[in-house]
Amino acid sequence: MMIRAALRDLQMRRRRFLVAVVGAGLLLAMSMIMSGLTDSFHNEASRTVRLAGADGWVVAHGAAGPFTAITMIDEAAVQSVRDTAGVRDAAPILISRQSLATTGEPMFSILFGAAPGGMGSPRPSEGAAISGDGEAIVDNRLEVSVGDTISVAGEPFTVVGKVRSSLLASTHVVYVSLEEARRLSVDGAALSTAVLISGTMTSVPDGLRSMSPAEAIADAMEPLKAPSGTIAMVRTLLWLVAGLVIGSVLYVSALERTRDMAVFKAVGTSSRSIAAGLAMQAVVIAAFSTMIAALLAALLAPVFPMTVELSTRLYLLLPVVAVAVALVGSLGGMRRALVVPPALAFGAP
Amino acid sequence: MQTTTQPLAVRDLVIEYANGPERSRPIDGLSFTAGAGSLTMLLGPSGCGKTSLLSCVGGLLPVTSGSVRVAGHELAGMGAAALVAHRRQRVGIAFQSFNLVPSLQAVENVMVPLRANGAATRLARAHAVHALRRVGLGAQLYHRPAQLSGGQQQRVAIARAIVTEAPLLLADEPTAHLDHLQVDGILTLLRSLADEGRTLLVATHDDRIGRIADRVLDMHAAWDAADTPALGVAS
Repeated sequence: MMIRAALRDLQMRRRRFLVAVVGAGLLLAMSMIMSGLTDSFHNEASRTVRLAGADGWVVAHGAAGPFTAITMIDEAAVQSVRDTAGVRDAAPILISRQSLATTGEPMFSILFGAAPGGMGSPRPSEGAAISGDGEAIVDNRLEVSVGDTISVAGEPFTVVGKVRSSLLASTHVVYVSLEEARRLSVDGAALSTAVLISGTMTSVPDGLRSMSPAEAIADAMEPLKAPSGTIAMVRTLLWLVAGLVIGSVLYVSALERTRDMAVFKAVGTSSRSIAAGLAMQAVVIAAFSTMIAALLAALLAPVFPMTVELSTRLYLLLPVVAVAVALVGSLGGMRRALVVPPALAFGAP
Repeated sequence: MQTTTQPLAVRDLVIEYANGPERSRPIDGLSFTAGAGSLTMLLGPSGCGKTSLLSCVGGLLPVTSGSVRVAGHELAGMGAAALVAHRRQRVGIAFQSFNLVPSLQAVENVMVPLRANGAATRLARAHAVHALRRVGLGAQLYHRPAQLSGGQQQRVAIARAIVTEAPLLLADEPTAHLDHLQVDGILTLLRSLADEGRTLLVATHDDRIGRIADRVLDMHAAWDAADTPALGVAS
């Protein structure tokens, strides 16, 4: 009966609950966008590292990783990696930061140089692989078509293919040949920032450090550690505020229903049942908020300036978070329900 | 004469509670009994202890000292769970201002005590419909309180109080918010409920209820007669 009473009360105070639903829905949508944003940081790093197709990454000893280090490896070091037992293939790569221009202003990009047809040179999802100098494969979110000309560090390149690859919060990755990357970044010197290997190294040559793909992903995400932490904090705050929105509406409702609760108790309803009714209201608000949040997040994600990846996991997690937030928010109202004395039904002390 | 077989037996009852920094003792040494099929009217002005007495007999306020026996069950010293069971099974209460739940239909308001008592929804609804028909509201089953007149709301409140077939019915100012036509209808209803074998205890300052009462406890007279607000009123 308390569930029915709770639903009837929702029906009667529908405008107020609608405000709570919309308010909490907006906040939960924003928290979902935040989650999608941090997920995209990991996913883009993971995609880019996987695209290289290496079993391991070798960098200079003391370098933090292939994406954050500028410490170079010379050809002799690359050869020592090739000669290491367990290594089937080794391919030097050069990763640097360069300006990229399509038609408008130059923008910051990640330049990834690898020998054409070798490890690190990606197979594009659209177009062809790089076959020589002057060709580039670009991130498929870059608004250019195969055959267009782009400018990297002021040099023209023909787009031969597109692939989904970005780093550092939606920064486009541009793939060129290793020779071109060296020409643009280190004046053509035979230097690399990392060596990709296939196989498993039994030992690591002096002056070098081996990293697993997972460690390479962590390195790619390293510059985003602080922003990710900030986003996580904002997300937690959004949850808190959503809980407060739901909680305050339920608390005011509980205050207004004090006499009703006293009457329920006076006719024999248990305090637990009354509190369960309030919890039910919280769950209903959470359910509707979830629907609004899911819809809003789906609508907002594509127009968000940065990539927001809303996975099935996030959609499944949303109602769980919403219900938890709503239940925590409703604790004040539930406590109120528990302490209302039944004698209040008489208007007695 | 007080016996354990009486539907209601009150002996040397004292009710005391904190009222801010002070202690209030609205009832001090009250004794009376009420038999089956009787309507006892508690008459007196506001503050003379009528509502406190109803609250105590209804299991909503603790007995400070003395004895209150309802259908043979002693309320003094009863635990919280036993008091909830008492409210579910042995007493029906019609509150002042009706105190209907505004979001629930009439039939749903009447179902509440039955559902609290564990009755299945369908059975509770059938009993609630029967109770509402009994008080003349068969045509207003699905109305919300706001759609009912004061007299109709009072009837819903009475239906809620009698739906569990509790032997004791407590009514607090049942005519307080009604016009004279509605009052006549409620008085007739209350009398007929007593005639069916229930014990009715009605707190009021409306002496028209005296016309249908089997006896009147004039709590005001007792209040005036003593230096302290002590009640030891006999019928």
